[in-house]
Amino acid sequence: MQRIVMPLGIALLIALGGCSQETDQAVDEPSEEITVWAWNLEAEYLKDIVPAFEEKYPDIKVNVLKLSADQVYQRLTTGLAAGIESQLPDLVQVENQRIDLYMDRFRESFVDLSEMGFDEHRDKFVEGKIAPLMNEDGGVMAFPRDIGPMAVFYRADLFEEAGINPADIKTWDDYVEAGVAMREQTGTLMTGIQLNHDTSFYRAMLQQHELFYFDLEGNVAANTEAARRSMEMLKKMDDAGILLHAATAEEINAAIKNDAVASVISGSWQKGIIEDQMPEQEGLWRVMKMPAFEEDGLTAANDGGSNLAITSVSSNKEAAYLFGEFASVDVENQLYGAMEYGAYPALIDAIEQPELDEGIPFYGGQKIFSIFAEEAVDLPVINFTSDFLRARETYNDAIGRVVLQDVPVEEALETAANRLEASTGRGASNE
Amino acid sequence: MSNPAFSKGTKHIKRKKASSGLAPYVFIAPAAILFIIFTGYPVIYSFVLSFTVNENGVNTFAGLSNYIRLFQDSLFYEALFNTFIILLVQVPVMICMAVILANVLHSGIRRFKGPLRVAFFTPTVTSLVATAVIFLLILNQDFGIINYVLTSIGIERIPWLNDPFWAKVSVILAILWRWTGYNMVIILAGLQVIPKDLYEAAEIDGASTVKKFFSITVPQLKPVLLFAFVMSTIGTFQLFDEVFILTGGGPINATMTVTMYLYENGFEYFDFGYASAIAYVIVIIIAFLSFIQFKVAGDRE
Repeated sequence: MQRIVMPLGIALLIALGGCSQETDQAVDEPSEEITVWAWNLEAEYLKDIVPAFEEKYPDIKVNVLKLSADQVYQRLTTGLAAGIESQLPDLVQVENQRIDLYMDRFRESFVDLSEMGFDEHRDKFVEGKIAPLMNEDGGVMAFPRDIGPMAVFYRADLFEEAGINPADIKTWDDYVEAGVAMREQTGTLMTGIQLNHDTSFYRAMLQQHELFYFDLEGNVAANTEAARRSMEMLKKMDDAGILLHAATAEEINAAIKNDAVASVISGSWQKGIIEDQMPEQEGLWRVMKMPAFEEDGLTAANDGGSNLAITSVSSNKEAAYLFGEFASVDVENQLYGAMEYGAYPALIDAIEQPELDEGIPFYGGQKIFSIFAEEAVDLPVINFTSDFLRARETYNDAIGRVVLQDVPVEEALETAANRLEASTGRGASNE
Repeated sequence: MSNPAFSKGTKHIKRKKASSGLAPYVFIAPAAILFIIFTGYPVIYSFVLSFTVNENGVNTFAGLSNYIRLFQDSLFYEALFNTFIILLVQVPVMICMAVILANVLHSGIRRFKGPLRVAFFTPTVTSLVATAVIFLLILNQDFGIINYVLTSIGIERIPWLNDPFWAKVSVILAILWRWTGYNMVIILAGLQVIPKDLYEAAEIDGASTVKKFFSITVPQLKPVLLFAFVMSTIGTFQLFDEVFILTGGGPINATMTVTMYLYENGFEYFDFGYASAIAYVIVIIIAFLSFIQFKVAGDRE
């Protein structure tokens, strides 16, 4: 346990920036070379489209650096704190949920794309994706890339065994009822809940009330009727004994692989996880829309999805803009990203392409992209705010209290509201 | 302090030698410069930071507001409480185990001494990520090996990482596994310098093994034990990696330690001022605890 005393570590990062020397960068003669930081599949996608881009713009050379998500954020944070160009990329991948945090704390550090002409593309994207990317002056702060329209991935074989008709599941109550049948008939649990990390379907339930951790004004929504109803539903699911208690997403994936869980409520990217990790279950999976609170209520919600932002220290902003535009507005590329990596496009023209309407063999030939497409255009507009991560912790805490300690919903949400209001200085939502 | 080495004569000679050139300063300069850049400056800077808040991307002076907020923050108290629980349960158990192991390895076992020492010390030098990943696998509620063994002998599955109580137990187990060997080695070193004649004299007087252990070994080990206690206390207050990878501080903040809370505020929420304030409060607590331990143990050494 002998390590450097923590406060030193903290300040070290900040100090490092202050001490490091700026290396010579040819600022006067803009070299036509840009660096892009991205992670996982997005990095692969960007690498794949570079040749086509360089063919179109022979003067520009693009270097895509593939890092882990943590690395990107850590390097970005320290680099921005230091404000040194040589330590930062020209273009960087940032998730929707973190973009406000960066824009708030490092306000001058990113380029307002509207000033570079992005407004012409603004209406080409689904509203639920682009609205959270706008700053106070109505400028677009990052190129919108993929989204994660949520749906229920389920095991058709287990559903059949339990005598459940997925078409009958319209509301969350139906889902709970089906879950009980599933448990009684097959002994399998309906879905998993991550107690140590993140419960995304609670967020989905809030979104179905056109709300989020915060309302559109940025006020804390923990004490709203929507938050209570969503939490009551989650409690009902747990009381019915249909939830697998897991610590992390990995534990849930292990349960899926071992037939211990019959469905997953998740973003469209879950497709890739299932295909990658459970190849032996090919043909057994199907996708349906998420249940709503009332019949014909809003089913859509979003989980995940990232963007590309230009740093203001970049000396090749024009080139970075051209590449960002190429990666986000080009229909062919969007389609390619979706088909190859399951990064569901936010670009409406791409969503409407017939290629995305084909049956997927892994899902028994079901046209699962059509379901995501219907959800994508309906996504409610939400406000992530710069306090998203703090809110996520606080709400998960409340979920844990309700599920594990039987704390009354009202009380758990009251605590969450108080804590969040105190730590963020935000008011209570009056929705 | 009647040691002849510290008498006036030798001091005089030393002073004369030191004044003979710049050499010593040149030799310590690299270390000193690195220390100032990487330790001195950050310590001071984070102290300054702890009096600022970030408003719209600009750090502004905010007086004691971070500290006032900290003392009203129920989550911080929860983190502090968790840390103390781990400290009170884990450190005594670990030191006791280390003392027993060290004694057994020192005198009890003749064969395999080397391999056993290595076996107990290996966890200390094992990569933390590997440790945590293995523990994640072992402790998995549905498919982990511990629960597999438990269910096969008719005991119900234990929700190791999914229950506030058992999550604390899991973290304690992981730290025990990792750090007992480290303390064992320190105590082993302490055992080796206890004069043999003390035991021989006790034997002549007819003392039992247990009597010898409590009347000779433990008192003689006092300075070493004090060192182990102080280091373990500091270590527990800096407990981060195990919790970060194993439980992420959950569920319901049951394993949220003060350092973990510091990290979240600093690097997740970018609340650097608040994180620095937490850091300084931790430093004060550690200093206070170490002071008490020295007082209790009597600072004869």
